Amino acid sequence: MVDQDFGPAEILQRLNRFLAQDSLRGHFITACCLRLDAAEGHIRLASAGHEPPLLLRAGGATREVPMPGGLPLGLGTLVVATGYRESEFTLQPGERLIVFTDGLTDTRNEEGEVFGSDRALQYYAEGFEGEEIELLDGLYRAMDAFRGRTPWVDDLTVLTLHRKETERN
Amino acid sequence: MEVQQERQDDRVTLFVKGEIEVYSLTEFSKIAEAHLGGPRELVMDFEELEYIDSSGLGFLVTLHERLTRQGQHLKMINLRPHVARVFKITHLDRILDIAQAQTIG
Repeated sequence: MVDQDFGPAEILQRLNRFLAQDSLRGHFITACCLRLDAAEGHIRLASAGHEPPLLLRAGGATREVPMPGGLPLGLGTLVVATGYRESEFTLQPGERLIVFTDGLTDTRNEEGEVFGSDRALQYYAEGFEGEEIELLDGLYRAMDAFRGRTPWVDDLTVLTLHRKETERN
Repeated sequence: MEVQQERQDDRVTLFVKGEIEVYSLTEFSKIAEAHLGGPRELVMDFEELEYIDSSGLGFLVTLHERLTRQGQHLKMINLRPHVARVFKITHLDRILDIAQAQTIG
């Protein structure tokens, strides 16, 4: 589908139509599909019920990226013509985009509190300027300390895109 | 997870306490599915629901479909903010009947 130059919303729509051919028996899939123009930092993205990505600005300010979104994939007959919409923005030099699964937001501590996107935002807001691998390791350690003896409840995937300050030649 | 049930006319309300997740789902689904073909309206009062995972959400969507096919209605009320957020993020609040706070009289 990427080869055929479909945009993120079209890709989600096509995946949804494909999945609707079979019942997922009460399961569904959330997905975030984005297309990056690496030279310009321009991003188009669409969401199927997925957690909104976080945008980390140079200097530490963070926010959730607003997404028009749509229903999760695989809900079959419930999702007929709702479709998916796209949002777009440009990742400025020094900014990071963090896309993650709900293993991040749903991880809980011994008091039953969820880690949540607020804590993730707070972690990033401390203005960590290291390499991506250090940033991810730090996030993992923060979550591990938060959960204490509570078992991990879900898998966790975090994807980070960083547009470096230095312009490429 | 604990569920208390209350019947009033053609409505059954399930007061759900604790968590709906993969480990408690079998028990919860048994309680909820017992009302298929029963009252006109099945209400889930989530005031004391602390957490729901994706398997719980998937079950509610399927239950909503099955109840609708039988001419029944599923409604969720009194969601805590972080539980309501899950329905909002997934946009399932577009297809499920959810009221943030409601008194059932």
